Amino acid sequence: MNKYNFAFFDEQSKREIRRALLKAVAIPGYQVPFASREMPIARGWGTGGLQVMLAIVGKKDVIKVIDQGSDDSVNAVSIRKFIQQMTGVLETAETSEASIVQSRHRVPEVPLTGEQILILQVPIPEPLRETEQSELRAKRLHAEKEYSGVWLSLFEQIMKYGCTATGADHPTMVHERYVMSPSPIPRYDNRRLNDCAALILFGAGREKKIYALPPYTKVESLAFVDRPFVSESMHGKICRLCGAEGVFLDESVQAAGAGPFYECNDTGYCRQRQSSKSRLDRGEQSGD
Amino acid sequence: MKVDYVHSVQTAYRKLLDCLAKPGTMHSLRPESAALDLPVACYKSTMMLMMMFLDPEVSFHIIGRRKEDAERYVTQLCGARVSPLGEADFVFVLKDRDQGALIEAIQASKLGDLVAPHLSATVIVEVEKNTAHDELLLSGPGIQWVSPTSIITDAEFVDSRAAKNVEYPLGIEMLFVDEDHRLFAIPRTTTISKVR
Repeated sequence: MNKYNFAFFDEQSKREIRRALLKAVAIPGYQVPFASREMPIARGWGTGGLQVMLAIVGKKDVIKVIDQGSDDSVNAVSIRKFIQQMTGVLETAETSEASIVQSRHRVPEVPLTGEQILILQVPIPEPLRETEQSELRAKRLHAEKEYSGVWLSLFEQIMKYGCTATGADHPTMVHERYVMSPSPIPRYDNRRLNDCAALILFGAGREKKIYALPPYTKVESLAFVDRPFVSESMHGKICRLCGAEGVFLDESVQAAGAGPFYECNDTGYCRQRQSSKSRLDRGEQSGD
Repeated sequence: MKVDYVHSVQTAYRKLLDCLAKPGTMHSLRPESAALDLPVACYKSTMMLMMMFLDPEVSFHIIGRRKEDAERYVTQLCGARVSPLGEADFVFVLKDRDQGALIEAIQASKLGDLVAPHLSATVIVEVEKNTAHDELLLSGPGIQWVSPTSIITDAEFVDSRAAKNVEYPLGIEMLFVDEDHRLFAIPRTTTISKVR
């Protein structure tokens, strides 16, 4: 650890990212270009989020890193270990204890507070990329608030499938100005970006872009008046481990003949509920 | 300089990030800047912001009666380029400015363009006092309802800033520091209305 500066980066690298972050916060949903340094993990594996984290993290922070809701996946563990080795900060799996949460493709189930910062890793930050390949033309379209291509793409999905077919990364309108990719979070999480109490920072290392949502910013998922935005339905499904309902669940298939079962996607949340439940159970038993 | 540069700038930056993300929030930079001992005729917290922002990749402009000395020293310290007001990435408006200089700085600072609105200036203003009185009401992203505040400086700055930021997403960010190290930030998205 001593071979490196605090938080891995030299101070000039941090300064460049910090300047980009300030402009990103000042223009919600607008993609600010940044230099995107080489990192000890490959681009596309969370280098954008990692760079944002290293530019802002301090000695007193407590960090949580999750990957698709899991604290224990390879990506989450390696990023968390790297940050911890480069800074010596404390780490946690409990969302409420963390001052900075870095996440790949999920917003934690526990509501975030105004004292917390959520960093989302972004593979493709440009919501117009599917309809406009040129970076320069895409920037011009953003400048002119010309989003017909995105609307047409959603319209085509409805014509083809009867509904919008964005499994994740459903485009959003931020502060009534910029169409923004919310990163590949499930549609369930899109609503939770709107008016969120926490500051949300997005880092795309491969595409060299940073953008942000300040707290209490209006974030609307794109939808038509007669085809409202619909998130994944968890109706009637229960986590088999903690009994949670109405949260984002993973579906797993059992052996032939048996139906599917469900577990909370956010493993930290699920474990917290399980330990509360077992404490309660123990309390009830001792009360007998 | 008796300052732990790496960690002082980091904690000061997080306070600034919080101020900018939640306009109306005020933080004290005293723990980070009080120990700064540099021969520049500006507030110590302004110096901290200079160290936070400036390096050879960006340009700056200082407005104040002893600007030449300050510019020379800051260039040597940070390596940033001195630019004309209309081209500078960071504009520092010091306490010993001439009357009307703040309004001139707001009017002349660069705005970027619609393709690259992030290329606008950030204007750092030294003021008499930042307080939480309810002379101004702030609304916009980062503010749950409305946020009351009071910045004791040139009264016309509210109208000049509104005129400058009229075509969102074009606009400038304004940071205010006072002698007691209090920091306050207003991004371009914030609407300021005066309490009558």
